Amino acid sequence: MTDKREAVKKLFTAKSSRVETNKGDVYYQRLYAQCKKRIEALKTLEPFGNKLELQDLLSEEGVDRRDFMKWVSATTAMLMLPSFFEPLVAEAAEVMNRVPVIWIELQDCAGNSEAFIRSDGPKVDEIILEIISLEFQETLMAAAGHQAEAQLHDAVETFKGKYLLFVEGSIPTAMNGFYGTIGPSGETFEEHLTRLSKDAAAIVAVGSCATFGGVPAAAPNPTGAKGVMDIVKGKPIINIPACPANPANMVGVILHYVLTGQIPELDSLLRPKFAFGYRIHDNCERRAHFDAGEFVEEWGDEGAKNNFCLYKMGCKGPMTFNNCSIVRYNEGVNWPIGVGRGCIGCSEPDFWDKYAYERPMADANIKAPTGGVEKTVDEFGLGVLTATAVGIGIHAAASALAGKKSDEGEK
Amino acid sequence: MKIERLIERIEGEATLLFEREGDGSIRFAEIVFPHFRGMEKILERKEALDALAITPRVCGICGHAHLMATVRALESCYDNAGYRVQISSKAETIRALTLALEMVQNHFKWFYLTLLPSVPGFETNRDASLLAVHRAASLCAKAIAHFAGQWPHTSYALPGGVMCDPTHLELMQVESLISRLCEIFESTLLHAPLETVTQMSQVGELFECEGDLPALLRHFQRAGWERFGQSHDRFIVLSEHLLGPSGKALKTRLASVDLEMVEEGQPTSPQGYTNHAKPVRYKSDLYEAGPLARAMVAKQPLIRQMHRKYKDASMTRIAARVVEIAALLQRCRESIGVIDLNEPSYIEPPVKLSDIEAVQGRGTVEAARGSLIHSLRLRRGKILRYCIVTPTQWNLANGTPEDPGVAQKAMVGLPDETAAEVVFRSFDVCSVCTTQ
Repeated sequence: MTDKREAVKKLFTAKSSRVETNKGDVYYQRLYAQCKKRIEALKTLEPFGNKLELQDLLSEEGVDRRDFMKWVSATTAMLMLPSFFEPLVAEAAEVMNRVPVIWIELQDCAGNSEAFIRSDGPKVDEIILEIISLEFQETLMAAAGHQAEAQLHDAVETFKGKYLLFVEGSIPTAMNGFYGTIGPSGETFEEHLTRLSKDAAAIVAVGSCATFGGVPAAAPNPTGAKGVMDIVKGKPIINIPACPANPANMVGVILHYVLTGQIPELDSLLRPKFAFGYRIHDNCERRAHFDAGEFVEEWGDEGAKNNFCLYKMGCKGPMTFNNCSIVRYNEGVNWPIGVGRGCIGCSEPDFWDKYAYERPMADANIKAPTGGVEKTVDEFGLGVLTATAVGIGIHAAASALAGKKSDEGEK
Repeated sequence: MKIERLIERIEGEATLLFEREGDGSIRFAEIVFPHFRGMEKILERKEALDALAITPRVCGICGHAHLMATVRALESCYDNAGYRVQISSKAETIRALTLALEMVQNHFKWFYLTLLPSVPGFETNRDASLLAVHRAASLCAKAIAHFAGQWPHTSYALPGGVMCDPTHLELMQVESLISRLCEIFESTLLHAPLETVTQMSQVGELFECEGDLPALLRHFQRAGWERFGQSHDRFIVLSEHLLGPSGKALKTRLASVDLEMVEEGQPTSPQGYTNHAKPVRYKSDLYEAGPLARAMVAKQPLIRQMHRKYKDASMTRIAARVVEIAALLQRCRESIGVIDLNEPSYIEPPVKLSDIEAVQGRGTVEAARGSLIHSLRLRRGKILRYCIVTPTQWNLANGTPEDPGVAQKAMVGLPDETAAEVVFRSFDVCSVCTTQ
């Protein structure tokens, strides 16, 4: 047992955070010029739908420039861009209403909508609710029923090829889609998703259900639930797993798209590397205790009172790729490990079945989701990495590469 | 004549099918929930404690209530096997506090995001109130996160207590968040101090106040809607809660409840539509669950008086939910003061669930929308069977034209579909929990 623990310790303390955060001056200069051009182009567009200007709103709400720049600075860092991009990120936030977003809910619990509508940042409620052009969102919008159907139809027609399609919830495929139909026509979720994907610029699968099937896909998967990437082919897909997905990452993806016109760099599971490029364990506030061999041995013991490492209580942080140890939840107030509750690995596929609640990983006979903790996302993501050099405008190229993700990921 | 109306802006989606009289008024309405995930099946064969991570995912709004129902169900398994699980009063208080805050966020959002937009002709500063409600919901989530790590979908409670060990600093922060919530309540929903609201006993006092609730009630009165939405006038509360006891009320007559009398049936759709909402009855009768039920059983003076005037109309139902926010916030404020940080957060149960051969248990909790029941059977710590009965099943499941369900009965006789939709929403519909 001691040997095993030592071996595990060695494995998990190995240097693993190998996301390339510095791509060199040439790369960033080129990217900067490209973003600048993109934002200038967006500025010439009329805002879709709402005509509200960010600066007016901010001052109306009493948010000063300094607060806004703090948010900009944090967001630039989150997107793994050098600090000279900050003015560009600020400009991008101001033209966010030039990019239409359609948000659909399928086999979901609305948890991601819930997380999103109170997303973080100083008064980002305003930025989100007022500035992005959320053309369709069942929970938030005023229209309902047939009126909403009409609104969705209009949004798709008006923004053909331009909108980001956010998908929340999995897609039931058993019994010909019997477990999830939508609207008066009885269209199945699968048909609905396929139809709306067709004209989207890119699809953002939000939450564990939309990405990997989530809890509905847990054994025995009674409804035949699947994730978006198992249904939609030939389109760029960005996965933002976790249950709920972190709003900061959703805003990050939109902002990245506004800024660059491209989908962010993805790993083998199509997750943006800026958010899923490292493990929870790598930046965990309890990491020092792990290295010192100080563990919580049972709930509520002295170790728990002293914030020792939760690994032995079944924490899945060492094999879970996500930025919640940095971004945290609920406007940065806290995260599960902050209150002494181990990570349950909710941004990894099939975690409902693979990771029991309390069993330590060493006893649980499970493999890391990417095939081995040692392998970094960079090695796995190489195949897809190239795809991100291609703008979303060139659908075919990007999606052909993205479509290969599973093969290349396993190599 | 049959009219379909798709209802969104709820958690999930529902379809209403109206049959109308010659003058257009509603003769009967069928409620259909077309979505299903199969949560009960997914829980089978899993480890008992895995349920603590799975059941909160039944609903993105009431996840904590599901967590609490699971915890109580597991604790009752210990009880039934002859072992006593001790819970410190600190853990109890923290659980109750986070649960209350989850209800507060739900009520705020229901009022502004679900109900108000469907009321025709009601003018309010929608942008201002939208921002206020998002701020309120965000404050609730932050306060919960101090104890529970995150919201939605927290799994921080377990048989024997809670996992968090808060410090004075966190208590102070939560206290300040609660104060800000009180301010938002007093500046939007009802312009009166919380204490005044909870002590009101005359409907007249309420109507004379300023704020979005009294304005809406006056709007209902002007429109002649004050008696819209009356139903069976039977109420049920299946467990004790922060604001009162369990029990049932037939009009104003109170009686105790026995969980054995709760019966779950199979989903029906006389019209042959796909429907996954299972009906639920108490001793073969339909009952309304939720804040109005809680107020009636707890004999809340203001709501009881309103009930005397308008019976179980939508207006009474709406007032009950909003007034409950004031009571909950008041209790939250008091709770902070009684938490003794020296007590343990967790007391280990005497044995592991896997040491118990076979046992069953049941947990009930009052969630935002009403009574929630989780029942399960375990063998050596593995789940054999899991059954969830949610609040909206009480209110929304279909009956027949002769014996209509609670929301169905409330819609019969209304002049048009618009009125019916408002009445339907006054129940705080949730489709994801209804069908799980």
